[in-house]
Amino acid sequence: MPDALSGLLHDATAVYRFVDFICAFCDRKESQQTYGEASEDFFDYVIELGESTRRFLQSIVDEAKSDPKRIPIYRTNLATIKKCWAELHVFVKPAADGHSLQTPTPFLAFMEQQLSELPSLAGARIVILISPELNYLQYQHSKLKGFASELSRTIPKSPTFPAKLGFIAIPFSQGGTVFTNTLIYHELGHFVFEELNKRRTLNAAITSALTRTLRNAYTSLGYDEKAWCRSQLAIWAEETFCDLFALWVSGPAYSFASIELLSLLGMLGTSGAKDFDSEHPPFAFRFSEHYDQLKKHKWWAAIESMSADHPKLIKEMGAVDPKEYRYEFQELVPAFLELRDAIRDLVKTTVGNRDPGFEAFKEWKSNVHEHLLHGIVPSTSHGKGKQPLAAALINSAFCFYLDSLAELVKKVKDLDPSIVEHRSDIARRVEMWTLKALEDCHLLSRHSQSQAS
Amino acid sequence: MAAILSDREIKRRLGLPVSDDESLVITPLFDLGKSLDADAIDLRLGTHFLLPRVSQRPFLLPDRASVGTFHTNVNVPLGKYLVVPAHQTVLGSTLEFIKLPFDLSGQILTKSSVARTFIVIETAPWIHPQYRGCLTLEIANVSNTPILLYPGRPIGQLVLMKILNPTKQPKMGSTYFGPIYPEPPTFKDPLDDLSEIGVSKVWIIEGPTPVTKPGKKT
Repeated sequence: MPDALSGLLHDATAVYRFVDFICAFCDRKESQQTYGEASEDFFDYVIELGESTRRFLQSIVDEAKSDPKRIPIYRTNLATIKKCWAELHVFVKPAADGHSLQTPTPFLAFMEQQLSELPSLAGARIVILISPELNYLQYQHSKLKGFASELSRTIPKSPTFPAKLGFIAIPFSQGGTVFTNTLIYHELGHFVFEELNKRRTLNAAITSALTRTLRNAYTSLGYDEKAWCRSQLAIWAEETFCDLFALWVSGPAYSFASIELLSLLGMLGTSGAKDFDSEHPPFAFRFSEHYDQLKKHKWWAAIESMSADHPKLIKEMGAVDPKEYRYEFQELVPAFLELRDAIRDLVKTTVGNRDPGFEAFKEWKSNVHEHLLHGIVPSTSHGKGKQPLAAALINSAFCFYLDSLAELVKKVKDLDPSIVEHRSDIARRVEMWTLKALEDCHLLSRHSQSQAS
Repeated sequence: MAAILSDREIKRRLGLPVSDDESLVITPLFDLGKSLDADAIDLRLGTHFLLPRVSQRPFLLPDRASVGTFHTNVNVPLGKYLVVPAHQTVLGSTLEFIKLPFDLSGQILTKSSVARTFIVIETAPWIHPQYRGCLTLEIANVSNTPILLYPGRPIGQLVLMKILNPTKQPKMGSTYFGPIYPEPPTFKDPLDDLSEIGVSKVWIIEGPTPVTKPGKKT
């Protein structure tokens, strides 16, 4: 079968070149830029997988020469390799773009630390991908893991996919910011939901909600229609879970960041605020959940009187009557609303006994405010209070940004708070100082730990 | 006469609340006891650098259009190093963010141990009262050997001086306001600077222009 062999050889060569390029790309990027540990592990995995893939490609060609009957099997192997590497290809470039100059590294390190402290998530890490979209997205890592295990079944001695590795894409324009990047917490929620298989926990509640609210209309549906209903509710439930998870772990900064991004996207205040779509519950519902949780965790009283519009917007949206929520299949809405308590409980069990951070905020807010107002990185008080300063930084600084930016601009020579360029420059600096304070806190904590040991 | 601040006075001022006019800020401070000398405080090398970029023009014209075009950003995390080739320069910064009060000036000096490797960290060492930010360091390797710089290692010493009859500026300065990384230089156009002293004409060199064969469209 000379033709089949030369065809296999040609195909293997093309795959070899493809894999070789990706590995060289990862290697080059790793030597040129600085990445977080998660990204480095991912690149190392890709490079190692590349080596085993290339070895395997040569081995199948060698074996095909001596046993041409096996060529169809090798062709199937090649098809698997192509499919999996094509999937990896999607991740490599955005991950390479997510180096330390394009991402808020100290903030990400803080998030990873918070993530690692959650039950069953010790050692969890996140690869940051840079996206052209003006949105945040968690890539389903279990899909990538699936491809990886398919490859390891095909290629002998291929490396194991790094455990507890998530992939979150952030917009390229927001790489250096702190405040908007609080939205990453929502994507961390997706990672947690997927990694800990929280969908399974919700399945019973979803079926029960559908049966209770739709009664015969649900039980008389066909298998596929029932599955679709359950899947739709699960999608909305996951989104709500992620919102509440993000709020719990990061505080009202998450609500503020959501409003900032929605406003930038021109999606705030539109008539669509009450509409469900196939991927998300309506903003009105989501903010009503924000409002309830912020009240429950004592945040609301502290942010309610802010002069910025954000708390008012949260309250207004939260006050929309659920009867006004709309969806193409309206019957699903009451079934979904029945799930509220189950979702809230799920968030609670996921975060364990994690402190929502209000006490730290209460202790440090005025201190952080005072520092920022004097143009100073607010890390000087690290280790001097009862509560960790790092936990309060994002919320305190976000409140400062929303309420007191003009006050700071007025204190700087030749700057005018009514000039957009001046405000923008100072806002950028407030974010920089917050980022630096997070980095300082991290370094100082590490230093204290090393002294103690 | 102006006086150099002692370690005790530095400590006192570091302990004041940031709203106090006399307060001095240096953060992060890992071990104040170890960092303080009798009349100076150690500063460490930061993790971000601006490396000189090879220009497409055969010269460097410091003007408004050139801002941000001279350098490439590099981040070197703690534990890794930056190689500074012999006779090369790089902009770095201190790891510490500093705020001077209205009545103090400062001067940053290369630590003697570093200076003896022929690394010079400052050519504009003076720090004005009420300055805030990480200090940009104009690092030059004037030796004949490439040298490794490790972010986080002590690299300079800050000496603080009391000013006689200081004037309290009501506002914070806006030039190089609160940087946390090395900041590239900012310039006005040469004519803007020189017109302030009555010069109305300035000679400049145009950038490279393409040359084409006669009759060919570019």
